[in-house]
Amino acid sequence: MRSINKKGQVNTLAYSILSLVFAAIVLVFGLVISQSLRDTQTVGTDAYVAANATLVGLGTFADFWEIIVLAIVITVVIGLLLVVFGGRQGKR
Amino acid sequence: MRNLSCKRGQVGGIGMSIMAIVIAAVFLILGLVVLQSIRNTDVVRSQYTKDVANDTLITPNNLTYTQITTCAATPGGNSIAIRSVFNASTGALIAAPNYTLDSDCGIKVTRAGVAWTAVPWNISYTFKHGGESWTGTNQTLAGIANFSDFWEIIVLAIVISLVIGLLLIAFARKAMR
Repeated sequence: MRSINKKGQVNTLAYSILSLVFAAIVLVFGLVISQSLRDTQTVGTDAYVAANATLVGLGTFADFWEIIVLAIVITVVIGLLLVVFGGRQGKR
Repeated sequence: MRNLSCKRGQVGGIGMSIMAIVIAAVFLILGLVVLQSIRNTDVVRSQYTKDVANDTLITPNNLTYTQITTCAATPGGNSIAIRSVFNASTGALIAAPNYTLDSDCGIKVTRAGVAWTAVPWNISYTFKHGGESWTGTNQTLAGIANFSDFWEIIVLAIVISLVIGLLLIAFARKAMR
């Protein structure tokens, strides 16, 4: 059986969280910039409506962080278990 | 049987696994701190100002801060500036020294047993609040903070893989003999 660190997913956890945090910060700055740009426009104009729709659409990404976090956790946990169980099956 | 702590056993990898999850935890906490700091900046949280007239506040008291309705219901509501406060039952003016405000949307009576506790207040005020960026940042912060609920499962998975790995090494070798 190989070591956890070779095929397991634990070592990818730090990179995953770092990527997640980086993506979150980029998203947040994107939302701030989009909102600031929208507010430069007059309410009701085409530019304002489009910028507002963009901002709202971009903002829905924030609803999905929980799912992304869950997917990372599932990847790590199943990866760890596969190292043990999958490794044995592969050798037969 | 070979030494479990060297080549083929799982024990030797546990140090690296713990180091990996500690580094991951540090990244997570730093990320949460950064996101929270961004959320609480004036650019995100206090970008807009709203004026409210005669917001009814039910039964403020001298023990805890009661949330003022409209401010509390607005995303990122904070920094209330009171214009006037009236007793909603009698219409009497309640002067500024009789209440205190917190940095969010809370108000508290300064003294116990005065006539204006446990009666509705009508409050006119302005406050600052965030927009879509505050809402998105707050949701992002809450979503990423969910990760902290899963550390136990990740630790459990590491322990399970370690224990089963050790058992498989021991029993597989016996079977091979």
